[in-house]
Amino acid sequence: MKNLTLIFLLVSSLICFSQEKKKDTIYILFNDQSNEKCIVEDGSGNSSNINKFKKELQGDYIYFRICDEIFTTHKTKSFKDTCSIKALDNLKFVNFEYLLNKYNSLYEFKHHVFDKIYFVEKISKGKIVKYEVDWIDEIIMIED
Amino acid sequence: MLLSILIVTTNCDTDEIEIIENTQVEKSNNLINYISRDKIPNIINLISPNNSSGKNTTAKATEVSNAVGTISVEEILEVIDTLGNVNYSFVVTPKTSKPNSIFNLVVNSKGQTANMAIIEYRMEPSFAEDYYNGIKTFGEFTGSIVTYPFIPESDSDLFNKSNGYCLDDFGAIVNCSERFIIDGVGVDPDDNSTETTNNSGSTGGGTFGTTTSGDTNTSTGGDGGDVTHNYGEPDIGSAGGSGGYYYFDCVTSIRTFELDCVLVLVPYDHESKPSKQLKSKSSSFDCCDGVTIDGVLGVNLTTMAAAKIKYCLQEDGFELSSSQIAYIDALNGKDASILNNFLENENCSADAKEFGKLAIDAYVNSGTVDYVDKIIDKLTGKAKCVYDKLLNSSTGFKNAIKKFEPEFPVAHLKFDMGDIGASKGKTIAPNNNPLTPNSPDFVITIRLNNNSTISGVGKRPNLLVAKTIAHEVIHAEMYRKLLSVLDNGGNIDGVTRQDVLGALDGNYPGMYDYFRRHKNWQHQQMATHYRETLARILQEYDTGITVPNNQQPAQLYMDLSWEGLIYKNGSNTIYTWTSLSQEEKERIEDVISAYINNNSNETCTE
Repeated sequence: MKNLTLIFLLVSSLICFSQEKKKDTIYILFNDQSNEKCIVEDGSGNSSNINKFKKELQGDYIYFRICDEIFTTHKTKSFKDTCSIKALDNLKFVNFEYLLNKYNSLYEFKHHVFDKIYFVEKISKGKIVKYEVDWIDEIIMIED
Repeated sequence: MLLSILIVTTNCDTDEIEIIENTQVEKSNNLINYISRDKIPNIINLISPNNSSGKNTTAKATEVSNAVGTISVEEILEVIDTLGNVNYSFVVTPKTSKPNSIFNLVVNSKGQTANMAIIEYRMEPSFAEDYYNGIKTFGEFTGSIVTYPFIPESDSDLFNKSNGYCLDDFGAIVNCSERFIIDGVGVDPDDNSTETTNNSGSTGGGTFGTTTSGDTNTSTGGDGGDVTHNYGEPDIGSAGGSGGYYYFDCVTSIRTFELDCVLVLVPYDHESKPSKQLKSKSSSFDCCDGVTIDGVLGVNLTTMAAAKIKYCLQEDGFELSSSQIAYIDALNGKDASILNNFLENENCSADAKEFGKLAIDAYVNSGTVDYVDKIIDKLTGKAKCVYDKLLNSSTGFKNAIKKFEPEFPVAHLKFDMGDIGASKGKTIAPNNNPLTPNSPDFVITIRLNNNSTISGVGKRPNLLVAKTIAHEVIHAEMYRKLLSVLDNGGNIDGVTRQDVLGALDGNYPGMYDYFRRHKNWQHQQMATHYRETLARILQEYDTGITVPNNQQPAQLYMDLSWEGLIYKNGSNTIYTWTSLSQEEKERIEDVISAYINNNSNETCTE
């Protein structure tokens, strides 16, 4: 009986521990048509009120910028899926602030905060495209 | 009759070898040219495995593949001897590389037929080492020359021991001819028991079994003592057409013409002039001095350094892409030789391999490679001009760059350009994540913006382009320091914040402190501790005068050094900046803004 209790405790703690370590997979609606704005500094003393969501192509990479945070995906090597807009019903979306709060609550690099991050873009009336992106920490790349 | 060749070289006695196709000067009866495939379509068809089906090889292909390996058809060495024999030497890259061997396919053309053989120049290891290090020339070849029959349509790999073609179970050559050469002079076949002299070494690794040279009769004296041979005529006609067997019976010596620019193998002596040739000595041989040589073969060395580079770069599971292999094959002689020497000197280490791959890419994109400071420079136009001026004028910048000179393989620098949106520059740490911007192991990449916006190099003032370069080099320096204590294989893959903290703690207390306390830690540290360094570099760049250590840089340069470090809001806030008075902040911002307005669209001249 004593042994059984010990095993139970051990297994329970292992399960708890593993659950604690498990990172989230999150989905964010990336809408570069949005009117939302952010104030972003260029490091030279200029602040601009720019669109909150911005997408640009740099070489083989698509840069998704939300305010001054950078997320990238490889044009061909990264996961990308086009599906019906109905698929949105099964996805649990978070907003950008959730992402930042989570980062600020942990002592991790940005690319280690979540298991996977997907950006979802609406590309037509009935279709969305889902990109797996990496959140770029200063340890990987620094701009300006 | 003088024997000579024409090769148009710009500087034949240096490493730079420039061969212009089909240019020739005839001072003798021998003609030696480098030609392309277009000149000899029939020969190309003969050596192609599909020629029996009557199908032509692709007109633009640079190589022909078969069971043996690949045959380069780009730079073919054509040698026409005094008897009118025409020999073509093609570089062969066997499927299994042998670092100390060079392979040529030699095709002898006579009318509508051709005789072919693959010749392996198997260097004795110590000679190979001396040769690759530039201590000896190929004219001093020591090793053996093995001749293999070549059948284009055969599916047997001649060099594969298991097919039993030329090698026995111990790797000894049994069915192919092997001739030994010492210091560029053939060993008398009569002094070896058989022309198929056993080679006790393994062939797989390119080792060379030393010959029992006995009385080699090689001349080493100043007057070039006689070499005795049994000079029979070569059996060149035992089988005509494709699949023929060109049996070089009497290889006598390897001669160097024009200071190593062209090398020929002399397979036999013409009976009419035996004595003169026999009295020649390779080390002092004057190839133009009254010697007639017939039956010469060209030794095509055009891609030998390339073969060595490929061998090194593909060791230990490293993989080269097909485009990288094509790049290596396309390297000119000088660049290939320098890169090969670099890899040799670095013992083909992991970081040397990474740097070597970058060097290949740089060559292809007209970039430059600094093998001393290990910097790849793929900058162009104005960015290249500013960078070069920085290197020439700023001791501070040079010192910063020199930290990347690796006594220890920590990090190297690569500069390149790209459209990077609204950023003026970016620095990428070594990481192998293909899904994010990445940089090879041991290499920190600095990228400057080449778009046409106000952030692009073209629009920005020269001095501020210099500032961006120096600013990014300081970021690179921070990454370099981090890599030096991380012990993570020259990259940041899988590294956690705790790993970084642990690595910096006790090693770099300043970085440790900034990393621990700040989100925008690199800019925080730079703003507080590196602005004066930046200002010194800028002032020296701008005025050409070094700022003495006991003097502060001028205010203008101190102000400009703030560019890229002014962040006032959110987690990026730079506290050194926000701690300044409002008046001072406005003044600095005005100085930067005015400087940009007054100096945009500047050109840079050397």
